Amino acid sequence: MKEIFVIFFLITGAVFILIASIGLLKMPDVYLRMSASTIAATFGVALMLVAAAIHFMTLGIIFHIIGVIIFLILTVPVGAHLMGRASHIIGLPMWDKTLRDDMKGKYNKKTHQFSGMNEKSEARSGKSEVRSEKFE
Amino acid sequence: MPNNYIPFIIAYFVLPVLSISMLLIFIRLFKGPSLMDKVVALDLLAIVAIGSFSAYAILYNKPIIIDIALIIALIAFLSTIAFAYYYEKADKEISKSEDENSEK
Repeated sequence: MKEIFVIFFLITGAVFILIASIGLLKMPDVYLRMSASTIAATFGVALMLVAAAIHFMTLGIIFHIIGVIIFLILTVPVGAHLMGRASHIIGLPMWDKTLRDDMKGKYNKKTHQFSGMNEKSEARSGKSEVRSEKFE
Repeated sequence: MPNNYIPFIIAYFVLPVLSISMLLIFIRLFKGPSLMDKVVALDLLAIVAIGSFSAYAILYNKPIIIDIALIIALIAFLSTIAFAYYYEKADKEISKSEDENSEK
């Protein structure tokens, strides 16, 4: 009975990781590649670690594996968010069929300050805009 | 039929599937048009390595291999954040130097 669960979780996790890598290869855009790879691969790795927890079935190892899964679920979206933010600020091109870009024009191109974060950053970005207008 | 199915499943299905996905990720890593594609591919490569380490831990019946998975997850997170941070910062420095040149 235990073996059936282990085999099921292992096969499902491996198939999810394969789907994630195919998505990384075939998607047309940096952002779509990031989305496809991050979500599916995290879920697949979590399933494979659950399979290891069922196979060993000791309390210490189960808590260890729960720690690894929580660490992955906390850190992988943070890394993906930083990569997406950096690639949007650098100005990497989007797919031709993209419908809307919500982040366009919401931040200062020179200081990378987002508008509406707090008053101080708005004042600073406004000052730099005035300066750039004067030089233009 | 063998008495224990798990090593056969791991050796003949799980590890080949993981190696095929690593091959696909390496194609993207060498082909990627921009640097960010390569960083995404490296991140996914580390995640696949965590999965294959958990499969190896089941195959050899040694739970200490899962420690390696935790360490690789930590290093992958730190390297991803460092790449994104400095990539963004390099663009900031470039625009700042362009600004100084236009002032002169």
